[in-house]
Amino acid sequence: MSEPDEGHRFKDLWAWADEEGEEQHVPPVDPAFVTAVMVVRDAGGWLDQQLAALDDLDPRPARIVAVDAGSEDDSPRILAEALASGSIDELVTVGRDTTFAESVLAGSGDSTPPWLWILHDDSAPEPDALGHLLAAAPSADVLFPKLLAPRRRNYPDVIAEAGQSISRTGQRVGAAEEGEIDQHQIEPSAILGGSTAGMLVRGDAWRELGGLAPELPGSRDGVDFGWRANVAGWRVVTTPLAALVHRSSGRTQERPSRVHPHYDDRLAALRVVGARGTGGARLALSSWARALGFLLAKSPAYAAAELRAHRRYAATPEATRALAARIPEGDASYAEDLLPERFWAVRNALDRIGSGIMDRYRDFTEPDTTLDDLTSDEFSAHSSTQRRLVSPGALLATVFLVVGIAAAWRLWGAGTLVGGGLLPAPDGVTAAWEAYGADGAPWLGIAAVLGTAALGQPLIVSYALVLLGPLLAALAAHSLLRSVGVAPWPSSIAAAAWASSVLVLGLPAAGDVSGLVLAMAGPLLVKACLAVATDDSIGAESLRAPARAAFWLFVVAAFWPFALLLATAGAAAVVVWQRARFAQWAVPVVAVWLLFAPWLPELFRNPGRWLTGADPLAWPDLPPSGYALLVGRIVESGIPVWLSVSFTVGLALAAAWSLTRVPSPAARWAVAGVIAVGLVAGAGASRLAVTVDGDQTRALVTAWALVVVGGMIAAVVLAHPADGRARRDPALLAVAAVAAVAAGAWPFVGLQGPVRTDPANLPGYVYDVVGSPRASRALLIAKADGRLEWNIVDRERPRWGSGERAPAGEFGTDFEGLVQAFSGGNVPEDLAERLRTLAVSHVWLDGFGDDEILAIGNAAGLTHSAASETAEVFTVVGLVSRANVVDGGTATPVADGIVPEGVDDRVLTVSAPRDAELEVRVGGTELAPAAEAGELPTYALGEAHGVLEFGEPREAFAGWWTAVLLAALALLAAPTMATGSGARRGDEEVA
Amino acid sequence: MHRFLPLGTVATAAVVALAISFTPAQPIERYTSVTPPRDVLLACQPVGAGTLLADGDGELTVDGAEQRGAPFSLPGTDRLTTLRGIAPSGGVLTDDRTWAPCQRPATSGFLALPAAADAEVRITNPDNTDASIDLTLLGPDGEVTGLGARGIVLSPGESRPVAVSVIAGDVQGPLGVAWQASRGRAVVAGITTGGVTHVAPSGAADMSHVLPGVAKGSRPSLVLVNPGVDRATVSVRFHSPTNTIIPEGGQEISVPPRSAASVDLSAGTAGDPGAFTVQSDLPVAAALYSGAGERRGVAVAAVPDVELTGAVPGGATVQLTNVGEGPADATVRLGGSPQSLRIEPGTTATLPAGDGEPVHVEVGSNQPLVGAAVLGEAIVALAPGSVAEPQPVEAELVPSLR
Repeated sequence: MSEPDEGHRFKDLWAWADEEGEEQHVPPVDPAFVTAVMVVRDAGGWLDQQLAALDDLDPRPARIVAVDAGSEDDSPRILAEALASGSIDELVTVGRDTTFAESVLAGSGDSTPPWLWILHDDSAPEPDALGHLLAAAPSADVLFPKLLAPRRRNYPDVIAEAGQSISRTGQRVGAAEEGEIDQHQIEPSAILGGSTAGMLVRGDAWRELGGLAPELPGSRDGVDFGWRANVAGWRVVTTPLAALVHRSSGRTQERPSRVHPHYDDRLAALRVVGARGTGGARLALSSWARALGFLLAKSPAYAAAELRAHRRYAATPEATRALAARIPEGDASYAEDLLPERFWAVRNALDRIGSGIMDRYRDFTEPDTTLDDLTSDEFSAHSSTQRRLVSPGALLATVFLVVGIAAAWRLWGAGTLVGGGLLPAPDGVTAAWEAYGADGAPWLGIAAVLGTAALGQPLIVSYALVLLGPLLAALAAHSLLRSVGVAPWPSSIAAAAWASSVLVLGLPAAGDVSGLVLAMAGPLLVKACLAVATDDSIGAESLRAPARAAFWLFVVAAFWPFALLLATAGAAAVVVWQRARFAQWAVPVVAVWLLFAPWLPELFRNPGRWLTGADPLAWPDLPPSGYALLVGRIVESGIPVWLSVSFTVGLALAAAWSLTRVPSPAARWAVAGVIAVGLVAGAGASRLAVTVDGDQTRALVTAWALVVVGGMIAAVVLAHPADGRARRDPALLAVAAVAAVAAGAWPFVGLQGPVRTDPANLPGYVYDVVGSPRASRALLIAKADGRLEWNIVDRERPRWGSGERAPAGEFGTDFEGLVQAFSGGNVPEDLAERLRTLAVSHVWLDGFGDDEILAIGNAAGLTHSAASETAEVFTVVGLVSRANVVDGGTATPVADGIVPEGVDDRVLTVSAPRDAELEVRVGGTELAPAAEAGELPTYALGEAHGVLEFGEPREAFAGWWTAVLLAALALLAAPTMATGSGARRGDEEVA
Repeated sequence: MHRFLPLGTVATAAVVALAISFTPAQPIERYTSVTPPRDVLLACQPVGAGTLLADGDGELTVDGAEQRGAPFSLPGTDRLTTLRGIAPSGGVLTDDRTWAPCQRPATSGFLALPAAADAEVRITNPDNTDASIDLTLLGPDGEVTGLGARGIVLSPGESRPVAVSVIAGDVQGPLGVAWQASRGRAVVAGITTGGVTHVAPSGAADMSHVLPGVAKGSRPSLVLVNPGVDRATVSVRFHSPTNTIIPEGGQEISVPPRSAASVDLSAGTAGDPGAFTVQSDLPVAAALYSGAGERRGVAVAAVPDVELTGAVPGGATVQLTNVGEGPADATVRLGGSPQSLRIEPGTTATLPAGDGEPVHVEVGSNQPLVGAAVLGEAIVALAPGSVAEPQPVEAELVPSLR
């Protein structure tokens, strides 16, 4: 019994809201005081609809005057018929060169009516539009209705405009957001101006202000008029309840025009703001910046129109002055308040970027809205908190982030991350770019970019790759699966399995850089290719998806060149067999071939490089697995056998069970084909020994393993019930279980492989010498179990990219001889001289016996000292430098990087193979080879002196070529500037 | 049924992959196998004009320029001469029969000198870079400190005498010299001030030494140097022509730490030719001084080998000592036709070297031998003749090693 009382009590409390305000009693303006003037030009295509809308007006203005501005189509006939039928009350004809302002003036007659309603021939008013305007008219003088975009079937109304303002540089600033759905949410408000389409003006104001400004070519004239009215003290407001459907036929170029529609708009905008004090330089800068933006948005026509408009504006200052003269005396501060704040354009751009990021974040973290969500009354009852807590995407990211961080404990310590196929990161950004410049392998360029982005610390990239690689792989797979419509939970489980496979295959633990990148970029490449296959857009928009595919193919192929051959064959097959669009499939492949152009000679010189990953010669010689390959034990990674077996077998059984349940036969065969090809190709590749730059290594097998895993996961996903509920699918549950086991085990057993944080063996002073202008080398030999391991350290190696070529450098064979010399304990008497010739300043020996150290210590020209408990460093006596000045048979090392002055018969030798192509400069002058070649590359030095620079000629072309092409791809991939026509015309609702 | 065909295809592919995985993988040629260089440099620093007697395997390079087939002799050698080649050996025999053996340049070594009062050290830098040598003197009562023993700098090719008798002051008795190069390397020999009565080459500290070259009728003595910080106990055995004995005075010789000691063993050898074996519980350096008069021959540790070789002066007596476990059946070629010889274990055989300049001695045996040629007081040690073929070690380039 108490509930009704309670309800009444609250009803009483809110009774005030139902009370009508006093202003509601102000009677609307009588439509008999309104004259509508509609200017028509070449509107035959839609004039019938416009006239029909006028017929439906209720209330209807006292008079409707149509002004035909020299139409050259059916418009005059239609208007004549309309006049005859009474749709319009008067027809006025003016010349084609008559401006919009003059046309309106002609239509309004000599005596201005009390209220003038301006209509465009493409602005169909809603039946009650005039009624709403007149209802608000008693308290206003200039009223701007709401303009709606043309309606589309099954789409809500979209607000095109509800009054507008203008920035100081002429940018249009709408009162409503662009593309905002009309929910009658816009409130009436004071406004600077708006479109003249549907503008209702008090006759007194119209007369006082002299009507529209003819200096403005049919655009922004409503803004200018409203601005003047505000200054003069007339009240300018929006009336959102009054709506017109504005076809914008001029902007969308439905109305034929000699000039680009943007030209008139921009010229008008420049004159509007120029007449009010914006400087010419600022407008010029703004125009050029906007033109650049239009170019980036792939609209050169807009860019040209922008610049033409500015040129015209600059050439016609009298028009601007005339427009300025129209500005009445008055208080401009009120109008100033209606302008956007300073730097609105910048803030608006940042808002858009932030909004885009948040949209993507929401797409990722929140499950899709289901039909139930939309139709159920409980939609709002589902608390957003609950939705966030169970967000599969966020859960996926959190798990692998935590797992990655937890696994980092094994890498704790001083040193750099190295081991397996992972070479030390360069010391800094400069070294990273030098590595790219020295070798030209595209992956080194990508690594340099990442190293630059990582606060200039390439080492961060190494750590991120190893620790966060699985996380990034999971996110990539999740993104792919969500893009093809897989429900959030199955998508997350499959993505987790993909990331877990990265762990189980041992890619981070083995330092398999290429495998890790493929795991991250592969799903995104597939996603981009699917977008190409399903995209049906036209024009520049149709190149966006191919450009994205090209980028990801470039990334994948940079780390596994064979992917480019596969992609080329695949694209050709799609074009030929499915008669797909040639351009869309050619762009990704051709673009990557072009990007690879500087590197192709190297690839064709070393055909084996196609089959390998990044830094192929960095890998130690590990005998390939036998049958263990089938359980994913490809590289030495320290992953326990039980983990490999349980994960692989579990996933394989789930995939086998699912494969028979994939509904589509084509999909079933496709998945089976992918798995089968991956299995056979991977097993075959594992048997190969490929030659790269004279050294041998193994083909990249992990790429094929990822193909197989991807196929198995695809089988599970494709067989998953369409209702998206994971609990109904045992295969999915099995996949989730094995993924959970792998992820859970990762922090404990994951990083037991060769990758480790390893401090340098060489003492700091050796690195100081090696990195000094002397640029000498250090030979490292470690002896253990009767075997020797050795390497050369200099300022170029070891680091990313030194595994692309013979890691010991050009003197590899000579170093091999030296290593053997040390191994025997009977070092040659000319050892120091040989070391000096090879520019080796230090030799580090580890694991050698005392006798061997003593014997080596007896060699001439060497001193030694302990480097650790087991290691000894031998230093070649005297300064060892890679470059030496030879003067009369006496060689003097260039110790400080500066060649001193000397006589004219001097030569300069560089410790490099005789046939090395070097570029040697002294004091900025390039040296020519000496007439008499010596054992080492010899250059005629003469009297040249100054700073010495030498090295392989750096070819900057590859970097620039790649940058330009990637910029072009980015341009293609960027959103295309929409014209508002085209796509929507097909769906337009018939009025 | 057709639903299972794709699965069957995958299964077939798995079987094929399994079969492929059992095939042997192509080997990767990552390991290098390069024959290490075997050439060695010897520096021969004479103490006066004499004849350089050189031997080796094949050709030797003299002073880095002239190549000569070994063995050969170079009369009139009165300055530093280098020999480079495989297994080189030799020395300079002066006209007064003082033998200055060629030595391998080193960065450290020991000299065991019989008398501090007339001891002089000759340091030679045979290389093209500067060398800096530090000397540590060890007298009978411990380490002797004095000015001028450290930081002795030698320019390339320089040979410098250092009068350690002056540094040692009034130290009486034997003197040990431990030398260490802080830069470069050197050849160091011990001689006497004034007229050179012997040339003692550098040796190493070890727990076992075999010292050949005790001439018949000579009065051998040993100089032992203990460079360690603990007292060393040394025992000596003498390999006479008939057996191995512990000579009088050769048992339980106690050498204080950082000290040198001299042991007269003439009473125990009874004038027999032979060789000594020195055993110690700690590394010691040892030198044999042998001779009947003022002039004495010096021998340091020889390396036992089944092959011995050397270029010895004509008229010398070759001594071969079997340090193996069983009887040695040796084939000896002394410049001419080979002759067979049986040497019982632990005994020393002697035979005349014959005439020649030099006489090329080649010995082959089934037991390890040490040998020396004795001419007057000069002891010319035979070098090991086995030139071991270096065994290439498996070496792999590991690019991540840094």
